[in-house]
Amino acid sequence: MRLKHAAILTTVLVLVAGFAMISPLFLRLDRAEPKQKVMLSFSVSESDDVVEWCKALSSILNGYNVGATVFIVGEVAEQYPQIVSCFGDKVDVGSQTYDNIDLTSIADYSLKLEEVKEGKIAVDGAGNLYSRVFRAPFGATDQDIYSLLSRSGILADFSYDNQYNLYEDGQFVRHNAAVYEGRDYSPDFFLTLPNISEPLIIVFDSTCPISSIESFISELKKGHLEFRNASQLAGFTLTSRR
Amino acid sequence: MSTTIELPTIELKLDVKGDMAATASPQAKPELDKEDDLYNHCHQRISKKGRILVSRKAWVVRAFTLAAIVFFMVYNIKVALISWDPLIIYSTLMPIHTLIVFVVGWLFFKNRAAGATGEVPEDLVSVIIPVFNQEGLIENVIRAIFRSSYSNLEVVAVNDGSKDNTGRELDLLAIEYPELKVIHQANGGKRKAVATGFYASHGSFVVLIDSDSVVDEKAIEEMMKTFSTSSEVGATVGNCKVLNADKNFLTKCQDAWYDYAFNIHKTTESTFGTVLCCSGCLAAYRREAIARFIPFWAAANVQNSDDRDLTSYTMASPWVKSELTSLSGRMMKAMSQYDDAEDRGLTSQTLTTWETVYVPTAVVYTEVPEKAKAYIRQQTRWKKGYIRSCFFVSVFFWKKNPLMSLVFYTEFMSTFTSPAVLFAIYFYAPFIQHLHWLPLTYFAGQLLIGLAAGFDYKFRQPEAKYWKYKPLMNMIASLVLPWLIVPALWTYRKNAWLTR
Repeated sequence: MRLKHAAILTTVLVLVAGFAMISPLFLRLDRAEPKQKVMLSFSVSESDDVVEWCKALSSILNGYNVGATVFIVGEVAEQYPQIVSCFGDKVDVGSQTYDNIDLTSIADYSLKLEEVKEGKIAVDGAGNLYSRVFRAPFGATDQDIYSLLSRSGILADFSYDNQYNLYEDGQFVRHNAAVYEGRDYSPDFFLTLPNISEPLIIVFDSTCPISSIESFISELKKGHLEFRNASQLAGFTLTSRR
Repeated sequence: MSTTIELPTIELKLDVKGDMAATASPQAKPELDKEDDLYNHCHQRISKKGRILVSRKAWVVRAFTLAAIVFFMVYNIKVALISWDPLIIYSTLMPIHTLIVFVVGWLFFKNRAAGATGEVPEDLVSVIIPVFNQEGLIENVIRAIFRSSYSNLEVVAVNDGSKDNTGRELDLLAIEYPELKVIHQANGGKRKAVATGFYASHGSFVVLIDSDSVVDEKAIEEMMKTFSTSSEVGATVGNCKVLNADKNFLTKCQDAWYDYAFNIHKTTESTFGTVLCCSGCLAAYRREAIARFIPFWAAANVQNSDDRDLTSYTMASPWVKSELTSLSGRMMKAMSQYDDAEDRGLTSQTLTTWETVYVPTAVVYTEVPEKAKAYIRQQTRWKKGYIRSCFFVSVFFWKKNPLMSLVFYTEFMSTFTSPAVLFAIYFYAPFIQHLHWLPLTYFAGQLLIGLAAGFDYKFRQPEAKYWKYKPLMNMIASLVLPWLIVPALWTYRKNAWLTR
């Protein structure tokens, strides 16, 4: 190969690589469409102002017409039934065990099953509903989780950092998601994220000031986001109100 | 008629502490005299190990700059990975390029001249000055050379058919300086003029100086010290400063640009021994590094890339050089047909075997265009030369240090892609894709990088007046200069001494 040919080859390679790298700049006509799917997730555990907090949250979600999913500790739901019943139809309500305990810290399977089942029963009883969505306290699960959930009548599990599992055709199937702790990011972060096919799941817990949540939702509403609850992500009903 | 140029003088009033503190007053400590003397010449404080010293405040700004780039890069990667954004490679590559340039230039560069031990070599040095229509300034150029602290010089001025009084001025100077040899020839271009000087000279080292560039008296000595540190150094380039910086807005912007180009970008290139362009204003070569290429190089029909061509030849690897000499007669000939980057051409050829090194203590003052039209014409010429030189260098540069290769290929690539990127960012993104934040983000990024480089100029050279112009120059460089690829390619085969 003559040097001239080698020079042409390398130059063409550099040009092709360069224009290939920048071509995505021109490939998407309107990146503002379609809307990014977002699920707001709230974990509710024992606190002094849990009743006020839940009522205020319900009011905010209603006011902004935002769908979301709330996971409530069974014992707290039993103690304050109104924190379950206060949420409207757009909000899925699920359980997160009875005692808000790390499931992986329990060695006995039957005790683990009892935690999951009792948690769900408590939430269902408090809200007069039938919930089939679950989030493990602290996101901690082990290999028993699938049988625990299926034996408890739970069809959706939102315990993870990068996925959620849905019960489909006799087994739990993984679905990708980008999960963020809401208090660690500003609304701008989510508004400037490029669209992705997976849903964003933004997680808050009941220690987060309700005013912060309101301003957060207020900012998010300005973006091209589509708020969904767990049922809408799953494609089937996860909270049936009686 | 001749004019007298007063070179800038520096008063040492450094606001630094500890071992960096210095003063030019008579009360200064004796051990600092040598450093202060050097500072008066190169305007930068150089440690005994060759590091360019700056104050602690400067390091804070540098650390902040690097942290900001890393933060942006990590954030960008995180977002892009979440969204599987196919732009991730490009949008990561560019900040990595900037990061490499800053980190290597700031943390790892050492002035090799500072590492020279023993006596300064006494080899005969041939100073070659190609001259065309340089009436007035040429006298100062020649006198500055003879004021040099390096004494074993022969100076060859080649008058390339000047139409003004340049020839007569040179003849008068030759009477005054017996070591000055003046050759008059019909106009044939800069390359032919340099070649004439090359063949008429005998030194084992060749210093090329543009006829509008005035060397500092220490410059040649510092370059020779650098050659003495390693037999692998085939070419060196001096620290070019703007002679007419005070003139207007454009020259002030160029002053800031020259500081970045030499004291940040070239320091990075030099750390790897691969300075890509030993600029024509002041470059020195071992004769053996370029002797075989000069015949091809001199057969030029255009006036660009002369310095880059020579540098590239000097630094290329042995196997490539073997390929070049056996297979590339036509290529060299084709490359040497053009004079739009004759300096780059020489550099390119030097790169084939040798190291090419930047010497910040070898200062030269050069005139820059004062009018926009002349500036655009110069930049178009340089871009042509850059493309021509990179076309050749891209064949072998991947064998060099991976980091420097990344810098080289990224810059070569962005020369072509920049106009498309600009179009996408400033028009396509806001008006078609409704991404209004993108042009603002890009603009702010350019501005901040310019500000960081400007601050760095001020910290290295506290008396610098035009460091504030670096952000503005960045705007010019990022918004205007990329489009010159169009006239550069359009007039690719056109040839002329475009500077005058």
